[in-house]
Amino acid sequence: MDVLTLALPPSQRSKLLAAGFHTTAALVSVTPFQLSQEANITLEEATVVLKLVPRSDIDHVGALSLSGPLTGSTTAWDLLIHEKNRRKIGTGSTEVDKILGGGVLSKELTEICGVPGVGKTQFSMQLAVNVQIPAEFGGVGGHAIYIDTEGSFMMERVLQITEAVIDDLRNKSPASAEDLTVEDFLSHIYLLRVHDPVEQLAVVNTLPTLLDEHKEVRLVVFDSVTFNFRQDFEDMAGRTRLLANMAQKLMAVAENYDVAIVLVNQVTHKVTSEGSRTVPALGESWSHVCTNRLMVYWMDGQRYAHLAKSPSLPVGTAPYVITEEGVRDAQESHKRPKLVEPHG
Amino acid sequence: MRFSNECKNASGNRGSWRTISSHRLREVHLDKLLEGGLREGTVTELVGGSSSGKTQVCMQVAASVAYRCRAMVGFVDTCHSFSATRLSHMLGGLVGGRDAVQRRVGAADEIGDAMKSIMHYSIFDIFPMLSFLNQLHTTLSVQVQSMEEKVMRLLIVDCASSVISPILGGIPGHALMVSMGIILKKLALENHLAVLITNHTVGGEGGHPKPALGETWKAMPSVRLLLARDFSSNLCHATVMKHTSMACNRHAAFQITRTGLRPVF
Repeated sequence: MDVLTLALPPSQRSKLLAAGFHTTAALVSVTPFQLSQEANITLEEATVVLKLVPRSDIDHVGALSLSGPLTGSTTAWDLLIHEKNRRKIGTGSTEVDKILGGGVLSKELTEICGVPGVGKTQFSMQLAVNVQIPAEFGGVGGHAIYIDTEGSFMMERVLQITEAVIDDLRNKSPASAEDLTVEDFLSHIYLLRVHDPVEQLAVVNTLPTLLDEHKEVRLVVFDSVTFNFRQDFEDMAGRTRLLANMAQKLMAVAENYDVAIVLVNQVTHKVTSEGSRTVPALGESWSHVCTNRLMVYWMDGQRYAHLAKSPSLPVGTAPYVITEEGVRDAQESHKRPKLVEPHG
Repeated sequence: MRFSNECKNASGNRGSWRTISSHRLREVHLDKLLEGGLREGTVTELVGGSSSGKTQVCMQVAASVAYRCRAMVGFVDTCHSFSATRLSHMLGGLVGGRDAVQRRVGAADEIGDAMKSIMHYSIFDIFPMLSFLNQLHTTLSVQVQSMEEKVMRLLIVDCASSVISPILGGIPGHALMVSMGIILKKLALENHLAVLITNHTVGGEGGHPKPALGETWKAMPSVRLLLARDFSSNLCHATVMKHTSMACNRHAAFQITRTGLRPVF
């Protein structure tokens, strides 16, 4: 394997290449002292380099098993058991929960995509409150990190949603819900305000540190992930790379910290030879990032949520409404007032 | 008979072309399309847009190989698209029987056995990926095969472009991509694996999607299949774009159902 494939800073790599170490095989039988002499690097750096070199585990006496040297492997069976026990974060509407397979799942990236005004921020705020529903009521009982890039987080609205949720829980079981207070709920939503792409990437990079400090966080909401990346980018390829980088880090965070990540995306128009249609923003490459994609849209004055992408569930559509209490099922038809023209 | 074939493979005396074993993918109808299935020693690439069915095909192949060939399967998951629940449905479809009543005794054990031989790896970054692939190569090269232990026959990387796209454009980016291609081919040839990788599409000229990762990567896989999903009829279309020994543009369609992929004639 080439020395190039080791994760080294470029200066160290060029020193190694200049000293004649081109492959990792050449590094296997070298001591740190020898390496530091020949490649002109310090002893600490040499030790670090040699630690990165993969060694064949034939040195370890005993039977070789595939899962031994290949750490981080689990079998599909282990995953199945884990998946069966996963808790889901309800969205507030049982119909939408049904098409999502019970709710928003942890260790997955869920994207909510729709036209302006259809209720993406409402969904995000509802999820940030619903994640705190205690385990006795079938919830996750975790905290939430809310990353706001558009300034659409409204404290008064979250207060309304929280009060409605606590009321619902009190109706279900007054005894267990007694010590739930609005202050508790609100103090467990950690709000981060982001103003430009650099800040957004910095937040994503520091998420591991944040999650180390607040171990009860079970949900990270990005509202929205698109806003900062839609303007001021002359180099589209560079933008795609930055987004791919951000996506990778988010996936690693979701996996390592067992959190659910919800990304809110906007839509844009794609003009093709057949006409124009609405597609999720940020391009084709971003579509591959999310595990589940929920498209929300208007039709005949009614809001619908459509599961467009999922590894284990079929596509499905469910209607929902936004009331004073938050996101709820559409029991009767809640038509949008005719004063405003519906978005196309 | 089978054991003697594997002896030949392990010792490498015969050229691997003569003792190719192909994995039968009867359920997917890709068998006919690929004239036998996935071949050991080749890297097959699945290219498709978002939700075109790539992960479904990968999981179906993993289920099929784990169950029918009683072999170990390595599934490298770079984009959180693996679902063990879905895999268990597919295995249920392979084992047979619509519900627990119809299923024969011991079917649940068979499903469990198959699931235990599918190893899942979550890797999101290029350096851990290269390190993992190299470790796999050394481990498989020195592994002494015994009668009871299962041998790894199939390696799936879903999705290769997720780890490579972020680094393309940086200084070592291109070289790292080529290194990954080299190690995948090594695994296929020297360790007698069938390697299945997936790739995204990006916009090309005229609005037609083309495989991501560029021209250099295009040369790496020996077989390329293009997947496209027709949402109105819920069908998935697979077309052969590149093959070493077959004509291109051959086409098959299949349907994604609750118990896996079903061919449509």
